[in-house]
Amino acid sequence: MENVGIDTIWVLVASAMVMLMQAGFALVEIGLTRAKNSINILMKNFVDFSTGSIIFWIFGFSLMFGEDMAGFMGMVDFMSNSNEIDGIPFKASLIFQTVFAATAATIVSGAIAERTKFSAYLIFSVIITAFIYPISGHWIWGGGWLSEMGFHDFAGSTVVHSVGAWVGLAGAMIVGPRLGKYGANGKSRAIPGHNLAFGALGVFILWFGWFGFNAGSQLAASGQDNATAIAHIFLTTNLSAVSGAMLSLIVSWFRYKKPALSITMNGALAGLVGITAGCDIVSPGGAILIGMISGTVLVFAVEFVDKVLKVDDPVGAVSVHGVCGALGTILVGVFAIDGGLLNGGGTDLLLTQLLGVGAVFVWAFGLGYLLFRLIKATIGVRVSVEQEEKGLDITEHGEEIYN
Amino acid sequence: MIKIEAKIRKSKFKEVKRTLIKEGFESFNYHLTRCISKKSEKRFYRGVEFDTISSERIDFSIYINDKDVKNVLDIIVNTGTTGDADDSLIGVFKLTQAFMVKNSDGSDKLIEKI
Repeated sequence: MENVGIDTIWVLVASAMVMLMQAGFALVEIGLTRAKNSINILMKNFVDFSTGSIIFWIFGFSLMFGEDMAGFMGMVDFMSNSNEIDGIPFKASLIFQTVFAATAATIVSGAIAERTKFSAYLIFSVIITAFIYPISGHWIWGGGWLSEMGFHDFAGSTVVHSVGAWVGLAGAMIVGPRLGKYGANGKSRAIPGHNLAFGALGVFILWFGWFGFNAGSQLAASGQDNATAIAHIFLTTNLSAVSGAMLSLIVSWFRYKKPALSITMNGALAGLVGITAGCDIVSPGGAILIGMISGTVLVFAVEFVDKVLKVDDPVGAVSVHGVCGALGTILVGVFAIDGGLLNGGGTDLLLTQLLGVGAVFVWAFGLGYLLFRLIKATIGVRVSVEQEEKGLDITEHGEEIYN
Repeated sequence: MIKIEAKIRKSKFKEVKRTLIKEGFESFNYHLTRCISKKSEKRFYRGVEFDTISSERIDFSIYINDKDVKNVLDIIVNTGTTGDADDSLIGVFKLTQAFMVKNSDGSDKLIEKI
């Protein structure tokens, strides 16, 4: 009984830490965008957490973790309330998984910031938490087909981060770039964020929450094995984050002649996203390499999305959560202590990781694309030119962030 | 009476301010402003290079007696310069009238000397 108590407290504390990440996401987004759209972004963060929590309690959780149906989805059990799951009270597991689901939804917000209708976002937020996230989550964490194949995503590089980012990519493509983002010749233009101090504070809050995100996914803290595992995860998580920050700083310094703060902030997040899948089964050295690779790739991914794909992603959500989420998941197959390519494990795990990353991309991007097209064809996804110029704070919410 | 207006680089303003006060000019106004400049600066934001069309300056103004004009101009020029183009723009205006608003006796009195 003592063990259950300790494990439950750990999972609940971790849940609260992950919930705090909502504040981190909100600050990163408003920091990297213009002041006139801050309230809209904050409202979207409130909305996706609130609607997501209710939906996940009503049926999202059971769709993800319910009795397996052909490896595709869980059996829906409305407002399910069993006694125990994974050795802890059901309600502790429910709240932990709820804050994860809300994280996936809120990632999308950054990619489509500053030009998306609030009503469209509301609809989208409900759908991702109700269907898109829980079903692919079931494949990996709920006993579905990818978990049967041995796909490893410990805390959600793919399950949470990539899913949010791929839906965000679809959304950003359909909503289109912000006014003035691309010139008549298609050349990308800078639209600097209005307060990088907010952004940096947000990154540090996310970093703090990530310890709960990754180490909390152990779902237990009692006993020597769990204590060792949690400590290991804290270490790998932090090492990857600092490596990501440093490499993105260095690469940006070479490319832009000066070390860029907003890129370094994204680099820390890239390291965190990258290590999330394998934080439990890679060595500290492996974590540093994953962070370094993620931080380096991040810089080029931001430019690729912006200049080649010409997708306007104001906060780098696609690059950080999508590209580095997929990359980190694939690198599990390379750096895993047991089964990784570089540790004599052959290519089996690597190929499984590749398959899983590809399948989740097709699912999340495909459904996200259909969903945004549907919303565009019905109520519309984008505010008017006048609204966009005035700012969404005044036109959508009738308030201003600074008075 | 003279009014001097100057747009001074933010990085040099503290020095200008300290020197003016040290030389006995203890009353003046300033605020942060942005100036459109011929000389743009290259910046990077998230991998995108762009030119700034404006840069931050301190918009400074002071009312002085005619005899102090040279002294104040010397202070601004000597302490406000970095040697780069667009260091500062100084305007000197001859005032026809100046009023000091005094609430104590409710009257506005023409001032001849500051």
